[in-house]
Formats: sequence, structure tokens, C-alpha cells
Amino acid sequence: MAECSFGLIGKGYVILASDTTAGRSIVKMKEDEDKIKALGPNLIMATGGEPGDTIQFAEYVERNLRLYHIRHNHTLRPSSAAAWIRRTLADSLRSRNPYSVNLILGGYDHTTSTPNLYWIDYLGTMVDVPFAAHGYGAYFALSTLDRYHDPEAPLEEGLETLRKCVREVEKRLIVSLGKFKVKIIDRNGMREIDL
Amino acid sequence: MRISTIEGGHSSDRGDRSLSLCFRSTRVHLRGLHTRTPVERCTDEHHLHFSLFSAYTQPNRCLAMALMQPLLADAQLRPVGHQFNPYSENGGTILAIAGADFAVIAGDTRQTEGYSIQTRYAPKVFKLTDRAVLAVNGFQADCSEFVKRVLQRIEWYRHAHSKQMPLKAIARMIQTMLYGKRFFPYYTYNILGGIEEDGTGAVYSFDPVGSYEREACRAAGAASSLIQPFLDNQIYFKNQTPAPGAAPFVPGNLPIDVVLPIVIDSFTSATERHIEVGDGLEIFIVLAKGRDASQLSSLNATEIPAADPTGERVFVVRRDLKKD
Amino acid sequence: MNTFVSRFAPSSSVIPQYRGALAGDDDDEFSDLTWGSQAGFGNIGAKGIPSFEVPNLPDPSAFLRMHTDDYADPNCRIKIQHGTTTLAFRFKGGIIVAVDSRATAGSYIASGTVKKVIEINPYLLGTMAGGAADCQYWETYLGIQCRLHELRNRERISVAAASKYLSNLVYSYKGMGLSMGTMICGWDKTGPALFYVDSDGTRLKGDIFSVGSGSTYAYGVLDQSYSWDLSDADAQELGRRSIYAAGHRDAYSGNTINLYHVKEQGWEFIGNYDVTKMHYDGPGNVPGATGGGYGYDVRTAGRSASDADAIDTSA
Repeated sequence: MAECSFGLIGKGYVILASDTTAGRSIVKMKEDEDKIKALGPNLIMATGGEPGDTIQFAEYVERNLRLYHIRHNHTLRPSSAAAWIRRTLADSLRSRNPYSVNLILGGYDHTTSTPNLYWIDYLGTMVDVPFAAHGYGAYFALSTLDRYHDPEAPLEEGLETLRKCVREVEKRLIVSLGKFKVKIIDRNGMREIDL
Repeated sequence: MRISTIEGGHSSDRGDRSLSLCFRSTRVHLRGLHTRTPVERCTDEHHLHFSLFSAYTQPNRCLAMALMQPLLADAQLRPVGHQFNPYSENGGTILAIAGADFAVIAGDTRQTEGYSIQTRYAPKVFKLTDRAVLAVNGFQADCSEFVKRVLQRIEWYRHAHSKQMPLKAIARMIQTMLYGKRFFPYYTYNILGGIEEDGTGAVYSFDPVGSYEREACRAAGAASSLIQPFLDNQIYFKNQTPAPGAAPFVPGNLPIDVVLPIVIDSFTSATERHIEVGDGLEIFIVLAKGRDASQLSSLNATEIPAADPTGERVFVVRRDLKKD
Repeated sequence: MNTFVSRFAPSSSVIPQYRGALAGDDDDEFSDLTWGSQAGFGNIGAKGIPSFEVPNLPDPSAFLRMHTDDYADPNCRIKIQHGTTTLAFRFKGGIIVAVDSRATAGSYIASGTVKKVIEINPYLLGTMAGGAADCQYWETYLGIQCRLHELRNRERISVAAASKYLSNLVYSYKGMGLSMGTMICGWDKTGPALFYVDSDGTRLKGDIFSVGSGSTYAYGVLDQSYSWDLSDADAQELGRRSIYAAGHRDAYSGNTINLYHVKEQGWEFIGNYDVTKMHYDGPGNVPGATGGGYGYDVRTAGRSASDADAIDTSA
């Protein structure tokens, strides 16, 4: 599981970052894979875990949330979407062929003007957090985030905190994860930036 | 390797297999032991045991070895690494608490194996010198073996130096004795209590291979996880806050009439909730030189005669614990 | 003096050699010296080499593993203490050594007051990770050998030599089940020196090391504000803050922090700090500390990511 993703909130925004390598056995198949899926105008999700499951699950979630949008003429709030995704994973876990997918879900809730971040694992564990990490990166970056994360940080400061985490993983993790893709959600919607 | 016959009981049998095992090349030697390791004959249903352990407990080892030779010659018989388990667990629990000028070392007297009670009186606490008491817990055979050797080394020290071995020296010696069996450990948890040369009460606790630490209190054995949190609260005042205006707590300075009820309550409570604890309780109390012993009178404590009647004094209190 | 030294000296070089014939039972091992004091090292025979009893089995280390290794078998009887965070780093003012104080046996906290910094002598420190007894015993033994080096050579042993001695020693037991990951820290003619030595036989010279189950978390804080030019106070604060981070995130680490500073004149004990107290109150009025608790929720109390207010003002 040489995969790694981070998420953190700041003043009015959520940042999601994920590595971009797709590997199989000892081979690096791709080094610009986008593992952060846009689920709607105000919701993004970083995926990791079993190859195949990740993409299938992300697309399943994305189509269902789109369906909800069409049927009801509004999107789900991030908290409701997170609850539905978690439940979907939990049901899947108890099926014959469960999805083995770890997620970080970031969204901006217009009704409360609040950014939301959820850490979800393949077992259906969900926590609402100010920052999150999946994969080996968590072992290095969680203490960095404990130390430097600020929920009121302006965007540039939040990105600097993320850079600290990525630098730490690049410095200490024995495998190289390659480049990180970074996406931001705020009241203006989603955009991608270079770190 | 020399196989020698040993005087003494079975428990000391395990002492004679020492190898000077220090450096890499020695391991080549160990491989040489292969041919000597006992074999196990695998027949259809039955296993003919010449297991290592049973070979050792054979009264006549030469006979055992002689019997093995033809077995080794048999092509159908292969040397098998036998499941060698020389350890058991005999329950019980011990604890020790240090005060400013005294130490209390206690242990229950039940000895169990599995769900059976082997005896209701197997002492686990031993007076070593006029100022040192050792509590041992774990595997009884290793415990008694270990205490025997500690007592012997302490006696040698007295002969060599014409004085009793100081407590901190005993503690260091116990470390090296335990670590000397780092690769074949004694399954014993040791707690040493007594009076230091400066007259303060002290408790030293050890792990089975000799790491040790001086503490104010320690519980070990079957019910350690029941008793230690209680001691943390009562002795170290963990998770307690002094009443407004009251003096702050000072751990390790409790008077003996507070400590002894804590010891007794620890054991009665452990007896209530742990099946391997009960029957009897032995509390050893070591008092610093010149300390008043009147507080012990209400407990019906008996004094163990000291080598030097003007120095530290050791008392023992024996009580009943529940026997079901 | 030489006769005195020779009584304790290994038979040949500094690196102990194979002893030759196998020793008999340990009762026979006691030389006349053992009758007296051996600084507690009673199992060091007349030739100065400790001897160990091993079970008479084809594979003694498998035996040991079966009965002691709680990773392989959590139910095994002899619990050897594991789980730790230790760190040491070199900077212009010397070396900062910081450790936690928790010892665990399985998930039980066997002790919260362990001294994981071993004071080898007034100018050498060793840290303790892995088997508590292995570290305590061999670093004490290393202290003896360092003193003998002084007596023989009329000068202090270098940190490089001391760490090499330990490394060779534990390497000679490779495969026998020793478990230690230690940092040897000191100040010698070359200035502050730091070596990582473990029971695999690895020995590394370096500026920053962290060892133990919580090491990744410690690195996560340490790396971010480390610099060679740190002031003494800032360096001490960084060591303390890094061990706190590990104590907070790693369940096998915690209780208290012990902080040491190795300076030119020898090491100095800076203090013992309760991790929970660090979380809520911080180290108090200590040089280098920014004040306030280290805890995330303490640090960010009352701060909100909502930007509703920002929008109201712009509207």
C-alpha cells in the first residue's frame, strides 16, 4: 500500500492531495493518475486501496449523487453525502464482493458556509476531522498536522502546511510516491492547483 | 557439552546446561549439539518419547543417552525438534511499597496450575538479609531455583566482605543473574524491597530478563493489572487532586499505618476477582534502623530475628484470604 | 595498574573472541573474583567475558522466540517490554536527547516511569528501544569497557569507538534474539557525535535519529523545524515537542518525557515532563517554549473554518 492521500480544512476551504502513481506488482504503470474524483459541484473524494475497486466505487458514488441531483434539483450536503457513502461501503463490506476502498471526502457546505472533511476507511469507519491522511503518509504527517494545522489558516498557509506533510513523506518514507495532485473546494467550487 | 549429575531436586536439574555462549563461532558449536538432541520416534499412533525434557528428568541420564544411541542409528528414526516447554505459570500475585523509612513486601500463598490449586501455602516472599526482602512470582520451579541462587550469592558476598550486601548491590546482582539466562530465561517476575544504605525505603522491580527500575510501588503476577492501577491511585495519587487549600500530595512518603491497609485491601480485592489469588497473605515489613515498631503491634506481626539486632528489623504479618 | 586491568580484560583484543572450550555448568564458572564484588557483573568470568546459559536445543533462538516474542505470539508467557519513542539530534550547541517513559507488555502499560536514557558515564548517553534488559545490561557493560579504555590509554574513548564496541558486541549475538535500537551520544575531540546502533549490527553516524514505534511521528515534527543553528533553548523545546507528538499519536509511547542535553563538559539532565500536562498546559515558563498547551484542540480552541463571517463583511 504505497499510496498516500491527505486532506485538510482551512478558513472556508478544503484541500485534498493524493499521490499520482498507479502501480502493479513492481511496475509503475502510470505517474499522473488522478485519484481525486469530483462528486459534484461542492464535493470531492480522494480514493485509495484495491486497484479496480477504487475507480469502480468512485464512479458508482459519483453517478448516484448525480442521480440525486437530477431527481431533487439540488445536491446532497457534504454531511449527507458522507453518510450515504459510508453506508454504501458498510453494506458492501457485508456483501459477497466488498469494495476495498479508503476515502477522504472533502466538501463545502453552502448552507452553513463551512468546509467539511471526512476520513472513511474500507470497513465503513467514518470520522469528521479537521485534517486526514491515509496510507503510510499518515504515520509521518499526522504529527506534523497536529503541530501546524490551523482551521482558520488562509489558503496559502494551508497549502504551506500541506507542503510540510508532502516534504516529510518525501524525506522519510522509503518508497518514492512521485508527484502529488492537489484539489481545492471552497464556496466557488472545485479547482486544481500545483503544489 | 558435559552432562553432569546434579545434587538436589528436579528444579535444579535445569541449571547444568550452561554454555558459555558469547560469540558467533559458538553457534557452530551449537549445531554440533544436533546429534545429541533427543529423538522422537514417530510410530503410527504412539510417540516414543525421548524428549529433551524427559531425558533431563531421568534419574539416570547415562541410561537415557545409551538408549538413544541405537535409536539414532535406525534409519527410520529422524531427530525431531521436540516441542520443548520447560515453563509453566503458577498464578499468585506479589506487591511491594516503599515508605520513607520502611518497605512493605507482600505476596499471596496460593499456587495454581491451570484451574487446579496445587497448594494453599507456597511462600513467594523471602527474607534475603536484615534489610532486603525478595518477592518472586511466575513459574514456581524457576522462582525457587532463583531465590536459592540469590541467597547463595548473598552469603558469598558476606564471607568475602564481612558485611551484609547492600540493597542496591543486590538489585544489580539480580539483574546480572537474570540476564545471565537471557537466552533461556527464568520465568520469574521479581520485586525487591528493603532499606537502602542511606536509610530510605526502596522497591526495585525486574522483568524476567533483568531490566530493573527503582520505584515507590509495584504489583506483579496474575493480578498485577488489577492491583497496579489501585496502587497508582493510592500511592502515587494518580488522578487525584488535593482538596482546595490542602497540601499537595507527596508520593512515596505515606505512613506505615496507611500503607498496610492498602496492601491488605489490594489482596482481598484481587482475591475477589482473580481465581489464581487467595488462601493466605504474607506481608513482610522492613523497618529502617532505629525506627519505632509500635504501629505493627495491632497487626500481630512477628519479628524475624536479625543477624544484627541493632540494625534494620524485618517483621512478617500472616493473614487469611478467601479459600474458594 | 596493568594487573588490575588484566583481571577484567578480555583475553585478547577489544573485540571479544570465542571463548574456546564450552564452559561447564554455571556453578563451576565462578572464579575467585566472583566471591568479591564484580560491580554486579557476576557472570563475567575471570577472562572478562560474560557467559550465558542457553537451552540445549538444536535452535536455541527459536526456543527463545517461542517463549518471549510477543509479536509472534501475544499469548506467550514471558513478556519482554516493547514500544518506545526515542530521539536524538546534533546541532551547534551539542546533542539533544529526548525519550518517552512508557513500557508496554502487549497492551498493558507495564510502567510509565522507565528511564530510557542510560547514563553510560558523565559524557556518554545511550538510549533504550527494544528489549529493556538488553539495552540496560549492554550499555552498562559498555560503560565498564569505556572506563577500562580510560585506564589503559589515559584518555577518554571516542564516541565512534564506544559505539563500534557496542555494535560489534551485539553483532556477535546476531540471530540469538537480542533486540535493541540505541543511539550513542557524546562529546569527544571531534565535537558532538551521534551514532545509531541496533541489534542487526547496523551502526550509522548521523545528525538526526529517532527510534521506536513512535519514531515516524517524532520525525514529523522534528524534521520540520530542525536546523543546525538552533539555539539551546529552541533545540530543547523541539526535542520535547517531538516526543510529545509521538506520545500523542502512538499508543505504545507516552507518560512522561525525559530530556537531556549533551554539552562539551558532559551531559546535563534538563527535565522530566508529563505528556498529559504538555497537552493541556505546555512546559510552562521554560526557555524556548512558546507558551500554552501543545495539544491540537488546546491550540485551536475557538477557531473555526467557517467563512460565513468573511462573506458577511464583504457583502
